[in-house]
Amino acid sequence: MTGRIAELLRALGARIVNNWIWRLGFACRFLWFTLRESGASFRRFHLTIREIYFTGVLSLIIILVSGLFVGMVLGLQGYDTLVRYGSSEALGVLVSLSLVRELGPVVAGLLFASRAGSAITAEIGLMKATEQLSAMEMMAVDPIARVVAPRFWAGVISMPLLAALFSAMGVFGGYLVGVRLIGVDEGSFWSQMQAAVDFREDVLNGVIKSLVFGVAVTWIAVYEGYDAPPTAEGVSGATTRTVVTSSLAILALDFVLTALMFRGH
Amino acid sequence: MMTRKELDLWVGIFAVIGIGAMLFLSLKVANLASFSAADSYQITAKFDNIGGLKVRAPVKSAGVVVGRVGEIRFDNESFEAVVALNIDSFQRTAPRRS
Repeated sequence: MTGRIAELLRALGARIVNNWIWRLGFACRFLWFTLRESGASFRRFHLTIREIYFTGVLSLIIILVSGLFVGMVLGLQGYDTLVRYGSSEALGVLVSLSLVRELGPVVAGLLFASRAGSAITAEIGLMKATEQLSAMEMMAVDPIARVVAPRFWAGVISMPLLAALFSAMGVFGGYLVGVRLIGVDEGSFWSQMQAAVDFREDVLNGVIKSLVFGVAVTWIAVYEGYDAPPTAEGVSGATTRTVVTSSLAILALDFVLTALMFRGH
Repeated sequence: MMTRKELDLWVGIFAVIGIGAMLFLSLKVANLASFSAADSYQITAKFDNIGGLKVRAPVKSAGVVVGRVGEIRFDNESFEAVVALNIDSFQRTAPRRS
């Protein structure tokens, strides 16, 4: 009996060590190598520009359209709630604060993870499966410097810009619904918003959040791609893991960052 | 396959509209332009109870915003709240209400 319990505990321990601790340690070492080898992605910046095109520019449509709709829904729902308390002029405050502080970075990060992160993982995983990475090593080209680092930095650069675009589009959508459609007073919509939103407290903290999400999502994406088993199944599993892990990481990091930034003073 | 010039163009457009969105959020939404940190003088006031007063709340004189609340702390000797008010220096009036 005790032998079987010990066997179960040993199996559990082996799973934890192999699946979690070993992978986490490798991921950290991988990030360190990526940062150390990223000189080339700035010296030969056209490598990074190419990746910014694939991660940032191609994500524009989904980010802009989602931002517009999220803002319009916030306008409708916010008006419906605020008008009960006779303060529908505060609609601008509600829309802009919820977008700049929370929804902009978080929803843009989730969309970025599923649009760009999955593509990065699939690409690197397939390069590994077809032995392109080994071929590069054979030619004395470091695949981390040539393939991984430009994608990492492209994601880190694109993410804050995409989150800012999402928030700006959302504010515009809230304006369209609130002022143009429902008829909230335009002057008080903007002036109450400008009085309530602070640059450092709200806008800058939102940008910091999106930067952290950008690092987390692209790190997970390049790591999962590089670590993927070199088979068709392996690549598809790694792509799924990228989306799941980075979505969970965004939500968990968002809670930690919010607790640090907005403690309600 | 896109040429390098086309890629550069698209990434340039992306960077410009992204930074434009950040400027929109800073200037139009957060109204950074009218937020003057410079040229203010400080007044301290003591209150028995500050109610729900917050740092950066507007200080109004006759209903007009003349400054912002800078700091709120507790005085251990008089057991009162000490509030530092940053008043814009072009205002000559002493604040009556916060």
